[in-house]
Amino acid sequence: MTRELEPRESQFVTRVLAVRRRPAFALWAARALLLLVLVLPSAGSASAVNVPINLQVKLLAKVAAYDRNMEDRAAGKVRILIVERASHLESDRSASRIVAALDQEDAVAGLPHEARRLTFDSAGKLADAVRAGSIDIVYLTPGLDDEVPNIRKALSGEDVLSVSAVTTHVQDGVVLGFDLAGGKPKLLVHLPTAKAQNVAFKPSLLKLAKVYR
Amino acid sequence: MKRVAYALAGFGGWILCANTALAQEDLDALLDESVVTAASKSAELSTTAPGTSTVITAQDLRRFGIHTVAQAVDFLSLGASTSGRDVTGDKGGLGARGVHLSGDEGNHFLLLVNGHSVNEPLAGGARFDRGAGIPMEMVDRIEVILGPGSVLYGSNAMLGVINVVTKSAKDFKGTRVLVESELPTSVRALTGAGYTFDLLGDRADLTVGIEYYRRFGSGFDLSDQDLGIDLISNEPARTSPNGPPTGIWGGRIDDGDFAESPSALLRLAIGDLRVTLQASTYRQGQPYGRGDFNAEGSQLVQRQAWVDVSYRKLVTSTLEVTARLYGDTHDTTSEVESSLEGNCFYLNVTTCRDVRVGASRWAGTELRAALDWEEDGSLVTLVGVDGQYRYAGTKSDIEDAATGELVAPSTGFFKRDEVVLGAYLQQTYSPTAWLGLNAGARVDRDPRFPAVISPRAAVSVQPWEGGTLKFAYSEAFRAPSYSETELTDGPRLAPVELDPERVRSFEASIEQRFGLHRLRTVSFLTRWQDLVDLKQLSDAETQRAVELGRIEFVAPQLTYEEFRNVGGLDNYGVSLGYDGALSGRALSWGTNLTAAIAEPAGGESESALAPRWFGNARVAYDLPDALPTIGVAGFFLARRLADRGVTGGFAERPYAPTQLVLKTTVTGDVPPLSGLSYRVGVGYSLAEEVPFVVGPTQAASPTQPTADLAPTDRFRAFVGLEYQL
Repeated sequence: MTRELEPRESQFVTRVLAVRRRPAFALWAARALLLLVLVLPSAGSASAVNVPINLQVKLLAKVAAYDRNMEDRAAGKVRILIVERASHLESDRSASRIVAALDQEDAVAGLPHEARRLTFDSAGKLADAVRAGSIDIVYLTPGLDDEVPNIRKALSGEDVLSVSAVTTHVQDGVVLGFDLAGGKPKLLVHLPTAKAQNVAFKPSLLKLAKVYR
Repeated sequence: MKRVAYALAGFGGWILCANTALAQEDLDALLDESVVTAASKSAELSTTAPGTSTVITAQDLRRFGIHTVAQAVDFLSLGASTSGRDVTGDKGGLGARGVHLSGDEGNHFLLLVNGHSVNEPLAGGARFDRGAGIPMEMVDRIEVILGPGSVLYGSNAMLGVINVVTKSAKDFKGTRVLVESELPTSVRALTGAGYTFDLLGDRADLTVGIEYYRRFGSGFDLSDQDLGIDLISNEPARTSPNGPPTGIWGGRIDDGDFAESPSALLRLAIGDLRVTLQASTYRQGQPYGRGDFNAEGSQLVQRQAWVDVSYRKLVTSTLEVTARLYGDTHDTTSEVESSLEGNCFYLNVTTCRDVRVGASRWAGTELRAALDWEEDGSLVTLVGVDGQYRYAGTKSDIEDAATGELVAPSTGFFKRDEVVLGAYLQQTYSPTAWLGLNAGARVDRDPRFPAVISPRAAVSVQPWEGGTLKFAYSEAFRAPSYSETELTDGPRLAPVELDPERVRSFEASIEQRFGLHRLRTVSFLTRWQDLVDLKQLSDAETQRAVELGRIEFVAPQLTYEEFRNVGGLDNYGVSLGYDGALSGRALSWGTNLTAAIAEPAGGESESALAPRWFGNARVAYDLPDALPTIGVAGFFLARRLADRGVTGGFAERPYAPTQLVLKTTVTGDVPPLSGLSYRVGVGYSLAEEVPFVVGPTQAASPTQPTADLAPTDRFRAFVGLEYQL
């Protein structure tokens, strides 16, 4: 199909091929999207759970065995306390998935295990629950970012391994966490907190982990 | 008694060591697992994800000297490869499992960047070379998911989906500058930054990179091609604006294969909001296309820019909604200079310039919801809708190359805009730890053809420790590009109708992990239908086209052509993969091998460009302490038929020889300067040619009965320095 000879349009791609009319569809879609985002109730923004929960739990089941003090601490059964934030959907979801993933593991640190959930109230009450329940592993879920330093203080001196589903909690003072780099999981270990909580990871594990000192 | 005690102690020690070793192996295996997101639009282990995936990490890209997505695929992926890249590194699309489709411009793979599709609708293609505009230093991983992927993504995902995921700030920390050179032909500079900060009460994560790449030209020779007598002038054909017409095309190219590419990429995450912006320009010389030999004014310029904004919201603990808005712009300008009077048709113009401009814009929104019925991730329904507005158009002009004045009316003009819609549903179910089921389908509605449904069903079973069996059936399609359905220009007619290409695939795989070692075997069987190809009209068809008004008048010297659905091919084969490492991962290695046959319909025994055997191997060693890392990687492609091997009618079918490319890279820090690192490497190709016919002789002629193939880069060394502030 030919056209009449016309002056060369150096701005062809912006003029001749320019959109003649603003399509209603795009405007409608943008408005609907904005409405959806504004109307839906806020769930609180998700913290960075980078590693799928089922992989985290598999890793924890193996990594816990590298804590030299776990066997003595557990005395035959590993007790895991999953800490969630009230009314925090991401926290609730993560907690449910952690429980489900733990159900699929025959052993943690080579030992039988049981898990229960706790709604976070305060760091002090968490420490009380750890002592009262002889908890061996505390597993933090999203939604507790602002409480991690308090939790670290409260658990200092306790004999417990703290783990978090949220990558950034480790640098704030949780003993063990998980990250993703290049699509592969990485272990994160906060050594000072480990020492304070009587967690002694074997050197062979620390070689595999990113260690915060 | 003592002996018994010692024996028991020794046995106990051995048991302890064995158990420790086994425990270490189990942990090593877990840490070696890869997480992919593109297979099911959710994060999952690649071992159990539907389809065959390879995850290429940032560490792999660095230590094996990888500069482009195409190189990453060639050197490191299972089951996929280019058909060889020419000396410019630009020519040649991407194929998989022995299927390479000539001239497809990468439109049978879907390329995603952070989940955003970058295939443009005018040609449907994507670039996997420097033209992709993705600085490799910003890449966290490249997920190569083989097999039909239209079930979630729609058109183009026929051979597979490649998802380039960029780094977050923690892996691209601070500010950095990099300079690298492929001696002495190119230079690349990159500046980038990654920072986290608090914004609006949320943690924000920003990474940004700006890159400039310039290739100066490598210097190589092309054989002379005898073009004979020009039909218009009745003299020997002119192949350059200067000098007498000699009829000979060929000679030395010094810097005609230049390229230049500025690009920028930004990724911002604030809480659940994700924004990715990308912009790039790629300008390359076209020294041995269909025009004059080594013409300075022959070039291709591609520009692209896009933005993708997504927001994820947990509505309840079981319902997650993600909304995505995106917009893209892409344009291509091809300028080819020709002094052949048969090309220019005007006697008073020495050299004419054929300028073809194409542009496309598209914007859309995707809404998806994931419902976790059991609240534990075992039973999840994913449903999504994707609506997109598209605009595409082209125009061709002929100019006097000397003055820039138009010498003919514009041709090849079309503009088209429309809305395309897609809706998909995926159900995943893991009733036990060892069984995973995945089924889904997507329906795509395009006004140009009836609605297309793309189903998938996959099962993964882990019947024993470290073992995984997978079975998958899937279908995919490629919507004809707008260039194929709309363009009428000279002898090219827009088809009356054109159906989408279809593929159906069945694959079965076994994977076994033991510690840091992994063995994979994948068998596949695919059937392709309705492939789109350019076909010449017969005399009767030409006459019919005149009667229908598709041709105004028949020019006697022209052979008319149109895109048609021409047939299909059957493809089957097997891929084997093995990778492993020593504990501590200081030494790691891997190898992949694929044997495949692609039998086209119509009686041909082989497909152009498709190697029947191809594979790669790599080994990397991290020397201790401050010493560097050495990576050696290689890939090979078996002898393959050139792109015009079947249609060119050459006296002897042109084949590219078996290609073996080896690359050695050394990376490390520069002591004692903290923050300064280097990367040096050399690469060598055994083959001299790749299977692309070059020059004006794309089909046999009385004066030129044989084909010339594009040269490849034989030897290249590169050196780079990166400084992190």
